Amino acid sequence: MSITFEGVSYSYHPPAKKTAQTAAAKPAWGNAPDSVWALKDINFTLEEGEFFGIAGHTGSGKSTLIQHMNGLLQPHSGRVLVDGRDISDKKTATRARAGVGLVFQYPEHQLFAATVYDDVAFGPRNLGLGSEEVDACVREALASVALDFDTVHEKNPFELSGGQQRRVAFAGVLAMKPTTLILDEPVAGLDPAARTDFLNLIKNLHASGLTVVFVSHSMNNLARLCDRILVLKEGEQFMLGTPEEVFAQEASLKAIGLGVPSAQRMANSLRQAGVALPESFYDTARLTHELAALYQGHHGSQDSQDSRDSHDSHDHQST
Amino acid sequence: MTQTTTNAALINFEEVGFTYDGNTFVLDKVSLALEQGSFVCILGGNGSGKSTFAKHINALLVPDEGVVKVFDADTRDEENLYFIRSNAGMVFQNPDDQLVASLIENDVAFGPENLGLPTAELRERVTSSLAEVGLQGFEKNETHALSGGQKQRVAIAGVLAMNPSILVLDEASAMLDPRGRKGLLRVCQELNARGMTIVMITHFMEEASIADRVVVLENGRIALDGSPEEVLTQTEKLKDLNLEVPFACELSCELQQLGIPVSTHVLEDNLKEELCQLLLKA
Repeated sequence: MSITFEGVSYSYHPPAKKTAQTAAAKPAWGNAPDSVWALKDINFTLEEGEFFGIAGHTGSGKSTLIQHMNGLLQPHSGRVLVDGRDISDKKTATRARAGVGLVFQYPEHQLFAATVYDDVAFGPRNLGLGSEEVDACVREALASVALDFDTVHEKNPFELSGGQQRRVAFAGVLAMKPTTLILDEPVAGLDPAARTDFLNLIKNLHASGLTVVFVSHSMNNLARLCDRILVLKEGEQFMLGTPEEVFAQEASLKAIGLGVPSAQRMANSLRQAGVALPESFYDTARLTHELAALYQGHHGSQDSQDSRDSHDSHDHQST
Repeated sequence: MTQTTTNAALINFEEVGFTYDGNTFVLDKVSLALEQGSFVCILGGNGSGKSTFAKHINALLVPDEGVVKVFDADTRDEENLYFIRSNAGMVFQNPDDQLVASLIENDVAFGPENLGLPTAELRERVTSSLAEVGLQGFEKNETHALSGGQKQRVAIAGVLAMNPSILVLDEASAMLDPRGRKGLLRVCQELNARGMTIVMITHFMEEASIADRVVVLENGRIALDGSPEEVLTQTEKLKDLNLEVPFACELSCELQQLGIPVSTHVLEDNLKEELCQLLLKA
């Protein structure tokens, strides 16, 4: 399913109707003060099968935007189209609800049932599925978050570790068999090992055919995972492009208080200091490679081993 | 590399063992001396015992085995509780769990008010504590309307108003966005520069890399202990312990493997400087 935003604006404190009518000649968001608009004139299409990143500061409109993707919020101006159909139409909204799984921040805070099984089964049961179908959904969902059915299904979710609780919450969404999965800061508050596990889990879900929308503050994760990234600034579409296109603009990102991935930051600051690195998108592998090439050019390859040995002995001395 | 115990230690763990269930020791013979005025980061994966360790510093938990002393006061002795808790303040992970009042000034005043201080002194403490966390003039603001990072800074102000000499942060930045995290870290650095002892429990390497000392816990034992340069450059060991490796260390190691003679750096600026020297000399 594709989701298209056409000039979408939204306000939590919409201006009075009268203002909107008298402001026909003005921009779609009327003449209300800018700060009132949580989203302003958003235009993009989320393509089927995409891994789509959304970045921006707290308060930039990320959460507001994702709630438009399954009709939890309806735009005050502009349209959201699901496979070309307007989501303000009830049938389309129902389709969007069924197709789009939304995992909020800290989803484990929303666990409520007495057993893992009941929690994951809540959605499918509400769809009116028979108990055998529900059972199949629960087993499949738990398997896809790498939890062992026999070990966990009778447990109280609150007895599990934080990382496992989050897996259960994920499973509850996956049990509805969505085709698009929206994840709001899915690895916040996890320790590094759990973070890596989760990111791999999300990669696998995407590889299995799900469209993924990934909201994050981590530029490293966005660069590593996403096909395209949308950057929001105070409710406006600040940038939209591939990681290469977005992270090439370090100065603009810095101006709105965001950063670029570590390797990119290092490459840019070396270039500014005069190191002859071409302007490009860098991950750690690319940067290592380019620096090695520069070094060989400077020093020739023969003496590198000797000087390396002499340097190793200096390691760990600085304090 | 383990630091030797000195007499100047402010917080002293001697062979500390602690168990929640009577079976598994979450802290297992931990001996550690933290010096006055230091900035110490405690790292470790989930379940390594770091939060349990933190709670021993202000006697929220007391050891089942061994002794914890703060300013030479044994945490197991109930008569010391008041002294220890007023000297060691704690800030926890969730910004929404820690504020008790709806106005910021009331929240910050909550602790010292309970000490029975006169109003003038109370006012002065609230004002100066808020200034120390960069929230001067926020006295009359409502706590619920703050960002997560601001809430954590109000929580710290509430602790500062008690005039403690130790600030313990138990993953206080885990739920914050990058901007909130930076602000919190800056406040801690400033407090440390003015003599406050900081003990920071964290997962974030950028926090560990600016500490004086980094202690890594694993299964309730001390796995690594030393300066950031000593600890964070052990990339293989860190990966074994399920910890991240700071970017500068990772890049240094990758470059070394390709034969480029750089040292292993913890801070990106230092690596950048060495690379410039290496690649820019005529």
